[in-house]
Amino acid sequence: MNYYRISAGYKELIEALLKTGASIIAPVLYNKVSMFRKISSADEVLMPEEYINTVRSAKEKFFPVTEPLVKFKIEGKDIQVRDIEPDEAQTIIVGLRPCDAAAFNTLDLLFSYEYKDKFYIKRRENTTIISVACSKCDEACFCTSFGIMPDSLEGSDIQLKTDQDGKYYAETVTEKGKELASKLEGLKASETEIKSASIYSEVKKKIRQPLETDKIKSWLDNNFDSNFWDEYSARCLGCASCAFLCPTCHCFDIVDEMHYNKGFRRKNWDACQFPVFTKHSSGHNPRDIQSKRYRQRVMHKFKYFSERFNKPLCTGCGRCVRACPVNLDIYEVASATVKY
Amino acid sequence: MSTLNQIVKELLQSGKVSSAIGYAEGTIPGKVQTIIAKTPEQAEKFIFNSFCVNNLVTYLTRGFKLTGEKPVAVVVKGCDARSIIALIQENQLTREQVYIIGVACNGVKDKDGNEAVKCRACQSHTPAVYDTLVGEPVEEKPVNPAEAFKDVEKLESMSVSERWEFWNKEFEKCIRCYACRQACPLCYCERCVVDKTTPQWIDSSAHPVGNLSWHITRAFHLAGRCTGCGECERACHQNIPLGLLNKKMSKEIFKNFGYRAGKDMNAKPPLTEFKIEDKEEFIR
Amino acid sequence: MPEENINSKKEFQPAIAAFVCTWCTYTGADLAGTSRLKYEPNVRIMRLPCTGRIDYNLIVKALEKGADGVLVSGCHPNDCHYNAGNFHARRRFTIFRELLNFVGIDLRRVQFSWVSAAEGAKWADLINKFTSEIKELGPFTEYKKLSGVSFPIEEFDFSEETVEASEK
Repeated sequence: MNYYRISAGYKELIEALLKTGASIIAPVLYNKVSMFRKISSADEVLMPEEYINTVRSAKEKFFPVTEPLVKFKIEGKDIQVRDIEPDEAQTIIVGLRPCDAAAFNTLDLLFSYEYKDKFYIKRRENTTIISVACSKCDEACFCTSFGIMPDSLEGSDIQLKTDQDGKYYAETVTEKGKELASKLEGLKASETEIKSASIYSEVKKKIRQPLETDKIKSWLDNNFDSNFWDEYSARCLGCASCAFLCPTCHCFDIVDEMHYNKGFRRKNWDACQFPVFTKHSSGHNPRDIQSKRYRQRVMHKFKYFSERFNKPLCTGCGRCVRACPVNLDIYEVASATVKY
Repeated sequence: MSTLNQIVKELLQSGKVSSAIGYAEGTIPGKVQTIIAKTPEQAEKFIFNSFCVNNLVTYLTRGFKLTGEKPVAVVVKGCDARSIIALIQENQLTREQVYIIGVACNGVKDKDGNEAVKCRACQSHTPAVYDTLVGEPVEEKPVNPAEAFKDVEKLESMSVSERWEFWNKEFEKCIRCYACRQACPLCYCERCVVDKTTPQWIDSSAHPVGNLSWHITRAFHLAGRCTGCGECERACHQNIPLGLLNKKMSKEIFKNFGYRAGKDMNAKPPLTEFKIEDKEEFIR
Repeated sequence: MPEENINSKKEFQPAIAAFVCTWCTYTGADLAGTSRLKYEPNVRIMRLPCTGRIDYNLIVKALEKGADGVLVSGCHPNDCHYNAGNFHARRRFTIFRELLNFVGIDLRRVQFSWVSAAEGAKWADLINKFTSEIKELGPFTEYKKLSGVSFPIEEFDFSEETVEASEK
C-alpha cells in the first residue's frame, strides 16, 4: 500500500492519465445512458459525485457485447480461417466503484479456468484499474453482503478517495498501480499512511443488511424443487436486463455470420433468462418456464459459482435491481429463501 | 386504497377468480412490484399510486396459467385495458377469462419521477372496459390530438439522412437484451422470429445491421397492434426512444385505415384484411 | 456486378433486387425477354408465388446484402392468382414503407409496382427507369457503411499462407 497526495482535482488527474498515452476509459453520459467509454478529454467524464453507479457495467471492455473471434473465407471446398487477435493497447479504466473492481476478480476466475479466454485475459493484463470509493449509496446497493465495502480495495490497482480533511488522495494496491502512480503528473508520494474520511464507514452503515450467504447457500442446496420459485419469480418477465447489466454475468453465444462467401464467428452476450437458452435441438427445453430460469439465476449466483470458485457470482452493485422493470430484487429473493 | 384491497379479498375469498394480479410496494423508492395473489390474505398488499406505471396485462400472455376454469383478475389502468381488448381481438384471451379490476388513474410517473410521456395525451383515465371500477370515473379533459404525436412529428420534420443518423446512433446503444419484447403484452409469440436460426433472418449480434433489423422487425410486427402502453420504452435501460417507432406505426395505421388498436373488441386488425379501394398511389 | 453495359466501364453499376410474383410480374418479365426487349442488366429477379408472401424482411435483407435498390412487383388488384394476396401486400407495404422512411431509408430506393403477365414492355420500361434513378442516387453507402462496420470484410487479408480449417 502506497499513498499519494493529489495536487489538483479529478479532472486534472484524468488529463494526466490521458498524457500517459494509454487508452483511458471512464464513465460518461453517452446519449442519455451512463456507461464506460474511451475518452479523449477530461470534460467528457462523469464526476464521481454525479453517479452512484453507471447503468452499463465495465465488463464490456473485456468481454464485449459482440466480438468477432475468427474470420473465414469459403471458395468452393477451400475454407481459409484466420484468428483475430485481441487489441493490445495499454488501457486504464478510471471511475469504477469497488463493487465493479471486485467483479473483475470474479470474472477472472471464469475466463481463465480450463479454457483460457485470450480475448479477456489479454485485455485484462493490459489494463490498470483505478477505482473511486463510494461517498453515497442507494437503496439498491448491497455490496456488504459479499464482504465488499464502499472503500474495498479488492480488484483495484489504485483507489481514489478523500482523507479526513476532505482532500483527494490515491492509494495504490498493486505493483501495477504503484508503477502508474509514480508516473502520473500531479501525484506526490506520501511518506506516511493517509487515513480515509469517515464518510465511507457512514455509507457502509446505510447499505442494506448483509445477506447471510452461507445460510442462503445451504437453503439452496436443499430446495431445488421448492414452490418458492414459482411464488417468487412469477413476476419475472424474462427480459434479461439483469444478466446483461450485471458485471459478473458472463454467458455467451457463438454464432457464424456470413456475408456472401466471407464470414465471422462471433461471441455474443447471452442470458439464461432467454426462453431458448437451454432449448435442445430435439425441441426439449429443461428450463421451459420462467420460474425455472429465475431459479437458475439465483442458484448460479449464490450456489453453483461458489461451489466451483469459492466466491459468489455477485458483488451487490445493484444494477439488476435498478433496471428490473418489475422490481424483482435479488436481495429480497435471496433473503426470503431462508425464511421460506 | 381500501376498496381495491376489499375487492381483491372478496374475489379470492369467494373463489370467483383463481388469482389476482396487481401492484405492491417496491423495495426501492419509485418502483412498484407486481403481486400475483392466490390467497385472500395477500389482498392487503395491493396498492395503487402514481408509480404504478407497469402494464400488468403482459402477464396474461407470459405462459401464465389462464387455462383454468376460473378467470384471472387483473388491475388495469385505462392504457392497460386497451391491451386486454387488443388481446381479445387477436384471440389470445376471451373476455370471460379475465376479471378486469379497473382503476381510475390520474397519470403515472416515469423513472425520473416526471409525468410519463404516454399520460400527456391520455383520453382514457378511466378504463374503457372493466368488471369493477376502483375510484370515481375521471372526466376527460380535452387534449390537443397533436400533442400525442408531437415527438413523432419532430422526427418526421427531419431529413431522411438526419433520421438515419438519429436512429443508428440510438441503436448503437442496443445490447439486444430483448427487454422491449419481453415487457410488451402483444409480443406473445412462443418463438420469436429473432430466435429462429435456420435461417437466421435477423442477425442476433448487437452490431448496427443486426440492431436495425431487429427494431424494424419489432416495430413492423406491432404495427396496428401496439396500444401505446409504453412498457417497451420503460423497460429499455439504454433509453432508446422505442415508443417513437410504435407511435409512428399507429399514426400511419390510423391515417390509412382509420383504426386504433385496443378500442373495439370486435374490430379486425387492419393488416389481417383489406378493402378493394385501399390507396395505392405509391405503386407504379 | 454486371459489366456488360458497353457505355459504362467506369459508371456506377447498381445492384437491384427485385422480388416478384410468379403469375404476373415474373411472367411479364419473361415476356419482355421473349419479345427481345432490351433493359438494364442490373436487376436480380427473385421469384415468389405471390406479393402476399413477400415478407418485409426480404427487403431489409436485400439492403443488408448490398442492394442499392429494391423493387417489389406483383399482380394488379383483382388479378391475383391467389385472389387476395396482392391486396394484403398492398396494405402491408403502405405501412412498411412509412417505417423505412421513418428510420431514414430513402424511399426512392424501395419501390413497388403492379406488372401483369402481358406487360413485358412495362417491365422493361420500369427496370430502365428504376435503374437510372438508382444510378442517379448512387450506391447506398449508408447501408453499406452499416454492413461494413458489422461485417468488416475489408479486414479479409488472406495473403498469408493458407491455413486449412481442417488442419487447425
